[in-house]
Amino acid sequence: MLPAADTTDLFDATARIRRILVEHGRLAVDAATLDDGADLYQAGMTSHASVTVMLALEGEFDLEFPDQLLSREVFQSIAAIRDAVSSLLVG
Amino acid sequence: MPELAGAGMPTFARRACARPGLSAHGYRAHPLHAPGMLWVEKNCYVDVVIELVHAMGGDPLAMGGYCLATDFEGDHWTFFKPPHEELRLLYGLDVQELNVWRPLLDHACEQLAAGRFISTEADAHWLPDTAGTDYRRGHQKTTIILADVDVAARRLGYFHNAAYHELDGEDFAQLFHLDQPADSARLPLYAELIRTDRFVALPAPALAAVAWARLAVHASRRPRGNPVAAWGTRFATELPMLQAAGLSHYHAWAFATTRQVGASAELLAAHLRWLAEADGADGAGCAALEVAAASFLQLSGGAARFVLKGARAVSTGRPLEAGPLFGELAAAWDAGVAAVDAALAAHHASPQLSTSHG
Repeated sequence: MLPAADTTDLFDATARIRRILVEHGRLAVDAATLDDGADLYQAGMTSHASVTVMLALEGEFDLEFPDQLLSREVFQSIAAIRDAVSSLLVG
Repeated sequence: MPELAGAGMPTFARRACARPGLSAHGYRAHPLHAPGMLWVEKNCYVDVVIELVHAMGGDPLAMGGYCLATDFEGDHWTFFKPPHEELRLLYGLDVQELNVWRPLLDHACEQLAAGRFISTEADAHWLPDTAGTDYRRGHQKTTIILADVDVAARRLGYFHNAAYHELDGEDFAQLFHLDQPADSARLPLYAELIRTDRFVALPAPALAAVAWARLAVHASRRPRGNPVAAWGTRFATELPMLQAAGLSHYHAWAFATTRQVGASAELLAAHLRWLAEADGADGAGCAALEVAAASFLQLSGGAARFVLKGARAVSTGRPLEAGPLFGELAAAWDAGVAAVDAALAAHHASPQLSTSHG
């Protein structure tokens, strides 16, 4: 589980998201050092890659993004992804 | 590279630029390619035409009515392109197939120097702007517009997808098949010559007058039934095959269907909103245009969600009950089309139109 106030879990979730982006995001920059708020699309993530990232996130966190979270904005940055994942895990 | 100046042949410029001032560095794409769009990239042909018109100083939002005439064709959605007639009427651009009877680079040297652009099919494998997908990784046919070629430096400036880019070195050589033995089995790629000598950046009201007329033409040739509903019916039967074929196949399917649905609907919505504004807030039919735009945006957004839902179903093999979503999207299509009809009826009945068209 990932309580929003738990900084250890937040750190862990961020690391897991970064790893997925390294493996599936096909970014033009190193996802491991990318700023949490940096725009992933600006960093080179294509819409094609974003599909793969979404599937990997669902597998990694054992969740399913509901329809209202299937939007470009949700996958726009590490922080946005973390917020979405957190909301689903604590919800 | 082939000799350009053979016996009896004219010598062409080694550096040929169709429009001076273009630079990949700091290039500002048109807002239709802004990050806020649901579909930043639509399809390769539409994208480069949008940026070409933008770079020439025209307003790409004036074209888009043709998206109303897109259709579900059984195994794909219309690969939508602005009709050549539209480009001529709106911007004075003349597009004709280029007879590639000699090396494409020779054509480029002559035509770009004359201020004409060349659109051509190309292998994305050698296009560095596709670093996230096919560059030096896969082979994919796409369309680019040649704008600036420097033979001596082996450098090319070109429009591709949502921006203007540059490539050089091996990419240049491979793109133009230089440093390779002649291969009679290699057919030339399809190319078009884009003449700009009659280009004109019309003021918004004049563009709107043309766009209204074109919208009526496209409305008259739109699908007789609801193409989104037809697509939904096909998908219901096709899902098991898609799941069996896997994610790579799904991406190709989604590009041919879902992306073309969503991108054309969003482009149409942007066009209709532009038309409402260009025609003035009190213009007849403008309120209906806003309704139509909202409906097509709803369709576009639903298609964007469906790309991800479909990918999940294919990846996991889980069932996907897409009926309700397709019902929602088909209703949005119907509402959008009905609103366009209402807008056209109001526009044609307006006294201003009767007067101006005498």
